[in-house]
Amino acid sequence: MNVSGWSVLKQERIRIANRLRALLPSSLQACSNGLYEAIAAAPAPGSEKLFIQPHDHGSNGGTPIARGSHWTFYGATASSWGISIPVSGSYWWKSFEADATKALVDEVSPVNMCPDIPIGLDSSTTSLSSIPCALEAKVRVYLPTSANTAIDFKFFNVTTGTSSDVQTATAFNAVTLLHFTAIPIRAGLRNQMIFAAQSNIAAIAVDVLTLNLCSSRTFTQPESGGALDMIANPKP
Amino acid sequence: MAVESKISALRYLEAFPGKEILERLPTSLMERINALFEGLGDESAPGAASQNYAGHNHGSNGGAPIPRSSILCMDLGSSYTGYNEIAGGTIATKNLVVSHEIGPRYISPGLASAGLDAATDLLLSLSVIGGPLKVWGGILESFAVEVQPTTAVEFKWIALQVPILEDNGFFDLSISFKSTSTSSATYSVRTLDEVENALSLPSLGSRPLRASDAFTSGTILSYFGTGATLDSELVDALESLDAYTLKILFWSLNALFEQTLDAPAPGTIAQKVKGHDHYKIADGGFGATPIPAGRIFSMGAPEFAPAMWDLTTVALNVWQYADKDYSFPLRRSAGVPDPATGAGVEVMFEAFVSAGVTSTGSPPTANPFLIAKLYTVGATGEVRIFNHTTTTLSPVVTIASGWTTIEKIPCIGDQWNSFTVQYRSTGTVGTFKTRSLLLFETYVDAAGDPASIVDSSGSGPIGLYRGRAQNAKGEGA
Repeated sequence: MNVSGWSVLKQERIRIANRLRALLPSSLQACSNGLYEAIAAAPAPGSEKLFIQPHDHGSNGGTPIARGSHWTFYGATASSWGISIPVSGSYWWKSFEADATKALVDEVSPVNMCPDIPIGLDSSTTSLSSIPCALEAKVRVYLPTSANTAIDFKFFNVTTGTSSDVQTATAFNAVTLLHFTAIPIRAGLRNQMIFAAQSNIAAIAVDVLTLNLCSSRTFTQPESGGALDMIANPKP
Repeated sequence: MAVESKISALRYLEAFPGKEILERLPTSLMERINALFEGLGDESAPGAASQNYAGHNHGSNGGAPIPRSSILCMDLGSSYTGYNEIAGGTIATKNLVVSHEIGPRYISPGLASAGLDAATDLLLSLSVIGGPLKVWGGILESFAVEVQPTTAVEFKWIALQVPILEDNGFFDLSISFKSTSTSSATYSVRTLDEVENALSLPSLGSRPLRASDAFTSGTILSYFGTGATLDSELVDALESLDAYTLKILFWSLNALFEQTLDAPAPGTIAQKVKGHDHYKIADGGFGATPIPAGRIFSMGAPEFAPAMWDLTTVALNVWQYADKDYSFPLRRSAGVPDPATGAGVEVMFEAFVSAGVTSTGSPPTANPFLIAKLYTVGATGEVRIFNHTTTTLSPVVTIASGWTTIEKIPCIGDQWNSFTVQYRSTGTVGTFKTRSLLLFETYVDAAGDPASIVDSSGSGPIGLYRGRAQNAKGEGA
């Protein structure tokens, strides 16, 4: 018979058991078997059944980790994702359904993107970069010649009700590659997202050419509750 | 000194009440715990001369299957009236089925073990006019959803479940439509995103690894290092299990608990050791072997006839950029690539590569590397992918109409990598029309050899998840 599980391994158990009793070694066996199952996702050697739910970096424990691209757009034509900004000073977004630009303060559905966000990756926790966990994105935009001097861009997550960092393009009749590092997310569901733009002086029509929305170790992975890695952890 | 790692059965009877605890049990425990250290963190056990077991990687080297979120995303952008179509058509005959091959996607290892209980979550932006249709992903019509028509083109998000029947490889996604009335039905798919998520996971185990008395008072210590190695000579000398040995067994198990689950060891609320994050400690991570993220970039769709990039070659055996026929601002390329290095002009697209997945050779001679799937029509010839971040090239691959696989694409992990696709004609000049490009990190390549994974210094896993067929007695030894 093998046992998998965990019983608390506190120092006091050793002091009390001056002469070793079977309970302690059996606890060690159970913990060791439990860890084996949690790591390998296989029954402990000698057993025929997996008792412990193995870690999966999600609902069954383990550090939530980044998972590559969550949404990618690549324009088939230069105007595949055009955002026509009618007035300066406020954010606008392209509603594909209405085939028109809408103010961000108005209706925000149906959205531009619905990326799936895995369990554990959530802006309510702090990332390794010490800011709330978020997605990164590289977005390529084209600005035609205009009276403006700067166009601001941001993601708006309808699910969280919050916006990303703002990135500004200042090159006109030119293509600019923008890098976002703070796109808010809510874990465990598809998030509803909009990409919006605002001009600083006049009306303008801008084009989104490419977009790749990714999770990354630095900006998406939450900080651990531990202080040190296994090697740096000092002996008690 | 004898710090060894070994997996052997730890049977309850060996610690049965009344039975004297002899040398064999603590030695087995030490070996087991050292092996767990290696299997978890992919490092040699503290004090050991070498690493015996390979670190788990949730695939070929053991560990539970994990979902990788978006495995196929096709979004060409479009307006309500002038949309770009990923798949579309008209069905005028009741019960006639029309299927569309959408593209290959990599299914994560282990997900198919649940049979029809596990599925991907497929989201479509779909318009249906005329008559009602059934739509389903994959081969099983039993998972179909019926969509009612609208009077005019109106795109709606439709969620489908696609059963996962095979895994750990590239498998084509198909979407099928079936008219359920005599009315002619016209349909169009404008955007598509297929993800692995909680729906995709087999159910494993019956309880979490935690103590029922998890928050009792007492002193919980966590440590696993060279300051207290699990050396079997400790028990060899005494021929029994003494208090010091017990203590370090406690410390090491508590430390392993924290590193595995990224949670405090049971009995305390203060976590000391950081949870492993599949980025080696030596490289700046918190431990364990790097694992592939799946899809990291995608563009276009194989049925998008206008193509995403066009290139009309002007001479034989001259490398040129894939979008050369396009004009500003869509065109990214300029000039002519260096024939030997591929360098010289603009970036066409960017993708984020997972931490630890680095190979900078031109091309890489071994894993880890990226894999691309490229869909072209028109001219035949050769293709290569230049990575601006590594300043190196993939191998040159011969292309024909349809999907072409490009393996051994160089990359640098934990950062954005920038790429350019280059073609050349080798027979006759012509026009290369690129309809789709997908870029992946995967466990294996087309031959089943390691692709975007990092080799371990250990030689075998501590145990292997084998789905429903895993229960052979003694497995994992």
